[in-house]
Order: sequence, then structure tokens, then C-alpha cells
Amino acid sequence: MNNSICRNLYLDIRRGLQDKRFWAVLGIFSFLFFFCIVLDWVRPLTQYYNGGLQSYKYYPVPGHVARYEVEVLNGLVLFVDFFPFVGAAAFAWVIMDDRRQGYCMQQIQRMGFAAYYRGKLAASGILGGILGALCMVSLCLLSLVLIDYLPFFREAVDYNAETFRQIFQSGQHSNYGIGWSGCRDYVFLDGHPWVWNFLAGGIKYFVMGASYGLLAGIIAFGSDNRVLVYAGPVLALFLWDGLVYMFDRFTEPFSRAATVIDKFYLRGRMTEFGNLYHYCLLFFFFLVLVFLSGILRDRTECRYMEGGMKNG
Amino acid sequence: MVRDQVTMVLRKPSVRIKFLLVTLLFIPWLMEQVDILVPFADSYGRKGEVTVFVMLLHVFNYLYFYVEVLLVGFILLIPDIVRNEYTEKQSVLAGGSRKRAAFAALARIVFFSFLYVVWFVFLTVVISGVRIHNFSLEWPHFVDIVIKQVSPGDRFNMSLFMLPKGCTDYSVPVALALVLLRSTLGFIFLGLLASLVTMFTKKVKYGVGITVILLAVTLFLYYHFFGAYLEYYDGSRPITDVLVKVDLIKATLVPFFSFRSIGDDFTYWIRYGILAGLGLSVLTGAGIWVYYQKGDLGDADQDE
Amino acid sequence: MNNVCKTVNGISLISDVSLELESGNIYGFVGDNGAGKTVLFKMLLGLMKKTSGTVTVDGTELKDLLQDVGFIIERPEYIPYYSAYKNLSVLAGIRKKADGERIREVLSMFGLDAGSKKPVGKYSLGMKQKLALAMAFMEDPAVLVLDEPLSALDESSVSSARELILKEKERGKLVLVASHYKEDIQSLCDMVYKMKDGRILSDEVGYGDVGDNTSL
Repeated sequence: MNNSICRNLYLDIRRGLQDKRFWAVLGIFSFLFFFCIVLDWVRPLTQYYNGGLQSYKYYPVPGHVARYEVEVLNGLVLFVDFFPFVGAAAFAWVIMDDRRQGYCMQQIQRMGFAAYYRGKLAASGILGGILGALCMVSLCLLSLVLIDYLPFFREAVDYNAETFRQIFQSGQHSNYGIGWSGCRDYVFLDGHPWVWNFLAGGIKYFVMGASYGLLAGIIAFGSDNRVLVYAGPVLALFLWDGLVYMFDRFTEPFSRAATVIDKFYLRGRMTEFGNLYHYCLLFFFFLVLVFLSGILRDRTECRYMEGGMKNG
Repeated sequence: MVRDQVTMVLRKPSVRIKFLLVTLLFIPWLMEQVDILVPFADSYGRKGEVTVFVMLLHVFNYLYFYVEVLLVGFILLIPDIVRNEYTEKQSVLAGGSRKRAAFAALARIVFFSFLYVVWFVFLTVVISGVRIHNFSLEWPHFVDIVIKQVSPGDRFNMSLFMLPKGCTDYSVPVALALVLLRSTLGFIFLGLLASLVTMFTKKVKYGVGITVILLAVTLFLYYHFFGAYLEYYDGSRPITDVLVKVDLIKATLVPFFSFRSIGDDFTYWIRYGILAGLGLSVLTGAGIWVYYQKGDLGDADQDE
Repeated sequence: MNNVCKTVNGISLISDVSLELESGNIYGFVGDNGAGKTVLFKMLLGLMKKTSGTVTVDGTELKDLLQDVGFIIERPEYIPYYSAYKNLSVLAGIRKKADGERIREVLSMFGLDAGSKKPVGKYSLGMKQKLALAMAFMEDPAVLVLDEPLSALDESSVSSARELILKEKERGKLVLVASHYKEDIQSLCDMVYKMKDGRILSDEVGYGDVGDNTSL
């Protein structure tokens, strides 16, 4: 039985990786990032070429464009609020499709519902994590390889390189808005090159993607509603923060409790790398979801075995 | 026919769950706004306190509220309102004519958009009423002070109170009615657009997708470009005029639901929002009407 | 129907179909999957627009939806979280041709309990099919268009459904039936049309020409 679960997990992961939807999400994400960067630099670059050099906060320098843009993208409301969709888009649709076509009953009959349930949720989580981490890798690759070496960026970069190097070495770069927000507190990678921050970020993105993939899988088993599956993780993120706010508000008179509750805000922590509290929070969120999936298993089994194939 | 269809959708378990989720999203957000704005108003001393209706005006003018709650919830509900999921063919034939079927489809979307706004108006009045207790229909004096503090050239000022200049030229009920009318028309337009795209592509996911894209573009332009102002330097222009500003706000959903800044003129933007919402609703509604007269009806969603 | 054609994206779904259908008869339509039976029915109902040709009803060209018709097309339509009675009453409320008594009568005709509160989503496939039949018969329409009306029904339900369909014919209704089962066609139909690739293969095949094959 264990061999068949592992085998099926492998087949599911392969199925997810072979589907064009998985790579389409990654491709769209990468394209949007590139598009955002180009738009972001229209003003300063055209200023450099046409408006003459003026005092401007952000000077493009090799490597700094990349890091700056990754940071900016991380901070985008659009990105932060809709990243959960990435985890949902990875594999949860398979659970829906199999149920709709009745194919799930073929699998359940062969392996038992419990194995089917756990296997599908595991695949959804793993693929969500892989997709999340791949998005991070794509961000880095695009930033490092593409952006700095586009012709119009390259020229501006070379022109300003020396000026900026002096600013950076003088320690005044924070005045120019360049740095890693949130990385200065409790950083367990403090003092290491920024590439280690990216690696830590990759782990964080994997855990986030896995959490949202798992959540989307739970919703897929529970609802048979496609829009709810894709939007559910986004909603869950908002709802979690709303719940934390309510707890925070009502524990306000008890300042110590409020200080603890305050750590549980998820959205604000998503894109800050290097902060250990945040990693612990994400793992806690992931464990809550695993626990939730266990609680809902029996109910889901009743729904699947009673109703059989979903009639459209 | 419309009443039965609407009742059928409202009784759908997934619709009830979605409404519940959006309500749960809304409540902490509103409480947070009340917690922020009541002390803010109090800081102006004895210039009047926040009223429930001013709170209502602020909520329905605040873009962030739409982004976080209203538009997300509406997008969730689109699959349920743009088509009669279970008995499309039976309902169309029972209506007896394509005109009646088209009318029923349009009426369903219009009614839901209206119901959606009414629900959140109700929630705002009840929840903020519990904390504020002030149901006066007069403008508190601090609103004028806040508006006067905005400098004329300030094009992107998201003050704590989203009440743009000129709103106090109207009485509170009139200003409220105009704002709610604008928002309702905005939702009607989105619902009709999603329905039109769904009908042509025969897939609900594209109808949902078009609204998601519009929302995403709005968010990106608004927040990343400080109110959808794209700037670039054009060397072919005179040196004093070299910085070109392209105002993209009208290409976004912002005018349908909100204002860019409290420095905006209330009358101009409310008028624009209402007329644009009405015009686009009529256009998309006409598209749906024509499709019902000329197209093939009753097809199942191709995603199934 | 006179030289009716339907083309979608360059693909011909129905080609040059000409038929004359009279009340008081049951017409059968047979053919492989994808032969065009469902498309033809939808065009008759007015749900699908013709690319060319005309459909006339009692001498008047049909430009909108067919009136006074009961039908089962593609899969049964129902609201899964409503009971059988509620499902029918929602539709009956549109034209108001059937009252509560008629709804109860037609449900019991097809062996369904009108008083049951069980949501239709929990019905078996056969019970859903019975509900679809009840929906088609509910308003006593002049025309019945039935696509695979007896599929998923048990033996006794099949024979009682056949009797009800034959009774409609005796009452002067026009009935169109599409089915893959020879027994259905032979027991019900006065005339059978065989379809392939969107065409009627030959006029007025007659059910005797359907042959001895168990599947059509």
C-alpha cells in the first residue's frame, strides 16, 4: 500500500509538471515581472537619455537593479495579495477534474479513499511549493541575467556605476531607498552576501506555495467549485489577517498577549527574507492546514462515496 | 421569472458560503477603519465627530475597500450570476421568446449588483452604528478642515478620510446617493461584461478572468504609479516641458468606484463615474441583448 | 423544416435537412454519436439559430423560440439543492400553465414522490431521468422533443413511460424521439429518420428498415 501511495504521488507530480497550466502560470508570472520592471524604469531611463541627469533616488547599478526590483516586486500589493493563486493553480484543478469526470472513483477503488485523499493533497502541496520556488528562481534569473544586460539599462548602469559605488560605500544607500526592508531585524543571515537571502527566500516561497497548494486542495475536495478553489487561498490570506486583527484588538488591554498575537500577521511577513519569526509563522500556518485536512477527511469521504461522480 | 431565478441563486449553498466569506472579510476591515477614523476625527477637537453616514461615504469611496473586499467578493459570485447554471435551456424556452430570456438575464445581473451594494451598506450602517451611535445627516465640520488642508497640486493624496473636495457642496444624503449609484453602476458594468465574455467564449472562467485582469491592471497602475500617472522624459519637447505625464486613471476601474485622491473634484469624478458606468453598462447590455437575439442559447459551459 | 443548414466555424453540423412533421405522430431519429440529432432538435426548439433554411410551424415561419413544447435535450436539467416538486414549480411559475395539482400528478405519473423533500442532487440517475420526463410533460405541451428519454430507467418504468408517450400521440401531440435502442424506436415510432454527418440519409425510413441490429 505504501509503495502505491508513493508511486501515485510520483505520478501525480509528474502529471502536474507535464501540464501546460503549470508552466503557463510561471511564464505569465515571469512576463509580468519583466513588464513591471520595464515600466518602472521608463521614467529614470528616459530622464537619463532625454531629460539630463537630475537628482534621483534610484541609480541603476549592476546587481542593484536586480535586488531593487525583486524587492519592489515583493512589495507590490498585487503580488503579495495574489501570490496565493500561484499555489492554487499548481495542481488543485486535477482534484476537481478527476471528480467531475468520475476518474477519481477508479483511483479510489484501487487504492482506498484515505490514500487517494492524502496523495492528492500531498501532490497539491508539493507542486504548489515547487511553483512558488520556481517563481522566485525566475525572478532572480530575470533580474540578474536579463534586466542588467538589456542595452538601454546597460548604458545607464555603466554611466552611473562609479557614482553609485561611492554612495553605497559611504553607507548612505538607505537614504536612497536601496536595501532590504525587514532584513535588519533578527536576521539569521546578517552579514552574508545577498544571494543567501535569496536562497532563504526560495525556501520561504516554497513553504508559502506549498501551504496555498494544500489549502486549495482542501477546498477542491470540499467544494467542487472551481472559482472557490482558485480564489480560496487569496481569501484565506485576507481572512487570516482579519482574524488576527480581531484577536489583536480584543487583547489590546493585555499588552503581552497583543504583542504575541501581532506576530501572526501573515501577509506583511510574506515577502521579507531572513526573519526567523516569519519562517516559524509560515511553518505554523502549514501545520494548521495539515491538521485541518485531517479533520475534514471523514466528511470528504462521505461526500465522495455517497455522491460518487459529480453530476454537472 | 426573474424573481425565481434570483431566489434560486440566493439559495445555492455555494453562493451563501461566498456571501458569508466576504462578510467575514468585511467585518474586521470595517472595524479597523472605525478604530482609525474615530480618533482621527476626535483629534480635530470640537469640530464634530464621525457620523455613520460619513463613514458610509468613506467606505464606498475607498479603493482599498473595493480591492480587499467588494471586488474580490463580486468576482467570486460572477459564475453564479452570469448564467443560469442548472436550468438554462428550460428557463429560456419557458420564457417563450428570446427577448424575454435576454431581459431575464440582464435583470438578474442588475438586481444582484444592486443587492450586493445594499448588503454592504446594511453591514456598514449596523457595525459602525454600534460604535459611532451618531446617525446625523449633517456634515461634521472637521470634514471641511480636512479637505481644505489638501494643496491644489496634490494629485495623489490618500488621506485617512476618503472624501474629496466638493463633496460638502451636496447634502450628505445626496452625496451618498450619488456615490452608491456610481458603485452600483460599476458592479453592473462588470457583471454585464463578464456575462458577455462568458456568452461569446462559452466558458465562465473567461468571464471571471476578464474582471480579474481589469482589477489587476487597476491595482498595478494605481499603487505602482502613485495614482496611475505614468511619467517619462521626451527629448523632442522643449526643455521646460520635457517631462510628460500620461494620466491613465480613466483606463482603470478607479473612476467607477472611487477617487484617486481627496484633491480630486467630487462633482467631476462622480459625474464621470456615473456616466461611464451607465454608458458601458448600456453598451455591454446591448451586446448581450444582440447575442440573445442572434446567437445560440442554452449551451453548457465548455469547461465541463 | 426546409433545407435547414447549420455551420459553426466552417464545420457543417446540419446539411440540407428537409422534414415535414405532423401532429398525432411519433417520429424517431436514429444515428451514431455526432450524427446531428441534438443539433437538429435544438434548431427545432429555436435555441440554435439556423445558418440557412426555414422552419415553419402551422404555416408561419419560426423566428424565435418554439412555443408550447416540452423537451429533454442533452442531459437532464435540474436544480440539485431543490426537491423534485420545487424544481417543477419554479419552471411552472414562468408560464403558469401548470398548478400544484398538475405538478403532483405528473410526478406520480413517473413514479416520483411529490411530497419528498430530498434534494434532486441526491437522486439516482434513473430518478433524475424521471424528473426530466415529468418536466417535459408537466405543461401538457403540443410538441414533445425527447432525446434518449428512456435511458437509465428500470424495466417497469420504461414500459410505463412508453405508454405515456403513446398516449400523448393518441391525444394528437407531435412527439420526436431520439434513441440508440431499437426497442424504443420500434415500440414508439410511426416513422424513423436515420441521420449521419448532419444529413438525413433517406426520407421516411420507416421503422421496419431499421433492421435487426441491437444498436443503431
